[in-house]
Amino acid sequence: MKIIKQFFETLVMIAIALVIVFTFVEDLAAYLIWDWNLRKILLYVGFGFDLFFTIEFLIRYTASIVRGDTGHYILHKRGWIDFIASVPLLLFNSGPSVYFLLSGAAFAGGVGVLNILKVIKAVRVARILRMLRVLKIFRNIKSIDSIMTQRHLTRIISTVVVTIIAIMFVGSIVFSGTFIPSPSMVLNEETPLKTAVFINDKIERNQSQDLDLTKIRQDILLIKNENRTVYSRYTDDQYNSSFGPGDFQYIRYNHTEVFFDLRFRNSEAALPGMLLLLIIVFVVISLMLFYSPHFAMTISDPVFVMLKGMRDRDYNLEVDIPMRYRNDDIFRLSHVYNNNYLTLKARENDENKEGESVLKIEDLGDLFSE
Amino acid sequence: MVTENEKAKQFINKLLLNPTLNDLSALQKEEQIIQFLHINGNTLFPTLSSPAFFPGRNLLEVNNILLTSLFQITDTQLIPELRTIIYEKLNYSFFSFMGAGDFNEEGIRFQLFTFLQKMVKRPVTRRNLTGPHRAITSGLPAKYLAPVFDRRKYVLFELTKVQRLRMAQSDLKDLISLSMLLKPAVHLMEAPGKVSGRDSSSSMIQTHYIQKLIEGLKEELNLVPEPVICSGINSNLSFLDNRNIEASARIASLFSSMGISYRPAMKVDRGAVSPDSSWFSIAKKNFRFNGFDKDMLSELYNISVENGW
Repeated sequence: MKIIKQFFETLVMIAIALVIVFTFVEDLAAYLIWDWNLRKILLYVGFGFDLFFTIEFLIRYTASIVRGDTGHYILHKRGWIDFIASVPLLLFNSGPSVYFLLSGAAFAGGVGVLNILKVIKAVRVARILRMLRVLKIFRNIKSIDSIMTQRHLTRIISTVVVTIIAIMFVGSIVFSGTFIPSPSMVLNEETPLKTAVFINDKIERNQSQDLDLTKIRQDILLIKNENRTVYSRYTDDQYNSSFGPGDFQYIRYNHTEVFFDLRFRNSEAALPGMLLLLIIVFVVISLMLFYSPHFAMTISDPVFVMLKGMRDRDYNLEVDIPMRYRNDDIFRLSHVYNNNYLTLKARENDENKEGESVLKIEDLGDLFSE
Repeated sequence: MVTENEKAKQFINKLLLNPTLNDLSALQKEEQIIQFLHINGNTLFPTLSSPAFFPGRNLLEVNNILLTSLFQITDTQLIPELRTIIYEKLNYSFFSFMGAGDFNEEGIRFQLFTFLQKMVKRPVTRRNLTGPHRAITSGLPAKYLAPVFDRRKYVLFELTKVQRLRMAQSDLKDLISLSMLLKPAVHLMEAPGKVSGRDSSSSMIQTHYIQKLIEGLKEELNLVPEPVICSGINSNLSFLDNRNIEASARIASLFSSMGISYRPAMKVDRGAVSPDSSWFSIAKKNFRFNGFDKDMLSELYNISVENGW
């Protein structure tokens, strides 16, 4: 049972490490406008990860119900992170995408749908939260071997990461155009709908030959009127190999259908995601490398040495007090420990030589059973 | 048929295999096991008096059987180590500096080794040999004498100018080591279970008792110069009460005391001061209690800090 649990934990840790790399690669694929076939694979992989973590969350959640400590799991054992980084992603991000893909439906829509899409995409940021669970991996780092250090570091990293993600999430909703449109959006009067109306007018007045599409918009892919192709930028094969759901926007006005290329807009949108991931990864690494040794040196190490000295009769090492921190409370306590406690302990040991033994009765183990 | 002695040895050997004892000397291990048996004797007795171990024996008898076996096991390691110290590690050429007449090196070695064997047989002296034995096998005198000679400060002044030991560093190391080995001899005249010659207010030995003891030892160790015996025995005196104690005796006293709990392979936890520095620092604060030379402790402390020991 223990081996199975250990295997499961290792598997989860590997999956978490992979999903962080994957999140970056997925954004990179959108930014560099990789071939659709490649991005399709990434979509399935993302769905696989979300499904895996949702199942993992449900198992842990069920186990916590069985144990009767659901509240403790959700609030104190980072169950809320397990939830946010799994279920909403599966339900609102990778799940629908894979559904549309498998059902053969084109996922395209008007301006309102696009805004919802942006909100859903913001949910993807939650994947980064999984990184908080990787903290377990860092336990073997020299300075993070105390439970107190682990807890403090986890709390600090959680606060920083969650704050950044929350700001990004709320910001992406507020500034998506629904609540506060950007000045460039206000100035740019050539919205896809207006363009579609304009093209429709031209076609209905039989002036389609006058349409200079390069002057109207650079991102028009296809224009159809009464199911007849008026204009197409690429061949059907090119559409099949390079475009996936979400790569184009579809607007219909009267008998005119216009398809817009969204890949460049998606590419721009992927950049903040990549930067966010890099910021979070480097913030976590910086805290691990610079803050945790500082915490260990100024808090947990002196406490560990003092506790060991108080528990173990033969352990008489003084606490090392760095000059620049000598006025810290913990080092003032260490000073008292060095000067008073250890001094008196040494006298006590000298006077009472018949003290403890490093051997314990439990150390005999199975001696008597042989 | 397995004898009681063999059963006892099996039991002791099992205890000795405990990893927590790995970096301890033979006598330190022995001390730990004695403490263990002392603390847990009553708990162990029901099992140890069962047919599988020592049926029909009372607690005292079981204890004696175990202790005898423990001493036998320790001796298999301790006696060869003492022989190596006396016959191979120590050089007695410094005896000529200390007023020795005819220099019979083989005789000296035989006499000292026989004397050590005698001390090892007595539980009190055996216990007090733990520190000196550990300090010598860990090379504490040589470790600290090299920087003492480099620094040319208080300790070297006390050794070479005050005590007038104008000898090589290696000779001083041998003198201090031999002084440490002779230190437990102060307990040879004690009746079993009785601590003689001690000041009731401290753990230090009184001067008149020392004088009497030295006279006796001079006869027994007639090939060893008197100043060497005095250095060994005087290392039991408090420096605060006896300001004229030889510097070699004061150093021998320090290293012997340090050796009791010395663990050369001890892992220094992060955030802790190194073992030697910690020991000297604590000893500095307790110098009155232990009768140590504070200035000597300060210099040795500085050496340990400078070298990260």
